[in-house]
Amino acid sequence: MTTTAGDGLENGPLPLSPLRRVRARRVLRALSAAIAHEVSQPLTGMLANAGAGLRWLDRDAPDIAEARAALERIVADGLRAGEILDSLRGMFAPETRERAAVDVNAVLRQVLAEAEAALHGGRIAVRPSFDDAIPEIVGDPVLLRQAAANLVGNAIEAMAAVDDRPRVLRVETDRLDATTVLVTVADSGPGVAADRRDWVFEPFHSTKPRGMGFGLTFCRAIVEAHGGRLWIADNPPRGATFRFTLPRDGGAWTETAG
Amino acid sequence: MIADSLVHVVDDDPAVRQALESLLRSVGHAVRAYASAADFLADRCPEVPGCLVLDVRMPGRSGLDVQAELAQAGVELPIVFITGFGDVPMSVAAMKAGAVEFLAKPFRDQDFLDAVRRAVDLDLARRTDARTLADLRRRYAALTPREQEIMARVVDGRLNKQIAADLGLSEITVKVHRGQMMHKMEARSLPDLVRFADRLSAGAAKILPGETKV
Repeated sequence: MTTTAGDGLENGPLPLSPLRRVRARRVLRALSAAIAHEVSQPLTGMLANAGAGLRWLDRDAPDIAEARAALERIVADGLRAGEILDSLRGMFAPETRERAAVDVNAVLRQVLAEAEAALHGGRIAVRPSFDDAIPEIVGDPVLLRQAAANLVGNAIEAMAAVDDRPRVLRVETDRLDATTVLVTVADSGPGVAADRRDWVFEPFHSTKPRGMGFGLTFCRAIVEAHGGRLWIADNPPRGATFRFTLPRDGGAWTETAG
Repeated sequence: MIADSLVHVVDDDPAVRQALESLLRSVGHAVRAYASAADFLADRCPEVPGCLVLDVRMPGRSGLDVQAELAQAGVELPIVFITGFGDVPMSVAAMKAGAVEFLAKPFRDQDFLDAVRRAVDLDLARRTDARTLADLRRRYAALTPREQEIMARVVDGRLNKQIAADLGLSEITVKVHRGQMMHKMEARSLPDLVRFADRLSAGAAKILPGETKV
């Protein structure tokens, strides 16, 4: 991995260990990629609309109605960009820098509680199965919650079009070994084809035309920043299973872990 | 001239789609916009010159998948790719597969319009070229087998006397066939004919039988 000078992390408010610095940088890179992608949409719209508006006015017979419509779309694009900034402020809230003992079960329970309306609306049966014997892990509770919420949100969306079988969401924790937690989020949606399993983690992949959509890139970055790994498997007979590991101590994490 | 072409815009983001459509229309392009490549393929649009503007929101294989799919469906329109990220390996592959331009968002309105213009021009040239070839093939098909044999030898640089010997004909007969052949091919000179023959064999190898049977 290359290091980027001036990414600001060295001078951040927290004294970062070299290892933590690398992890933070990894999250930051995924995050900035996602932001760049999101912001480029309204920017593209604004530039094209502005160019269109000017050209409609420059015509021999200026088309005021078309120019006005273009200006209105610029306003809408601006508001959309503002919404993106609002979600970013949430992301960068001070508590996101915390590093604390985290009860993964509690995090997942909270995510499910927050998703209750969407789960109910999507007529999805939730099957939680939490192992109380898992160790607490050291990490950032807000980021972990965001990663889990993202996986749950994806599962809900994936099952939206399912009509021929029950819509079931399994959320489970297990003790992989004495020091590692295994989290499973499985849905009965269409699944992810084997040849797409790397692709869905790529930074600019998004199936959602709107919204912040940090997506799986960010989930993976968060998990890896905690020393774990995130991967996809089948959920027979139909569906996708996302699994990630979280080592208790934040991991014997190395540069090669992903 | 723009009015005779049609620009297809495929973008899943309605805001970007509308903006690009308005921009294109503001300079006189006729535009059809679609939310997905599938919608585009399902549309029975008129067979007119134009180009395709394709928003590739995700890199990796997806954009090229769509491109391959279009090729398979017989869509030969030049493609202007727009993407949220100028993924270099992907853009190189896209270029090799026939994309005209690869624009990273956000882009300048003029750059976009120029790219579309080039793509449409390319399509016009391609169609003209295809028409010319079809025309040549029609002319060639109208030749008798004997005239085709003689054409192959003339193009190879054989003299009338040699051709007559090759085919066991009199030189007069060869001259008559040759005149007919030149007339049907609408070739005013030997260089004309050679050019036509080159074009035909480039368009489809093996179109001239017995080319090298001297």
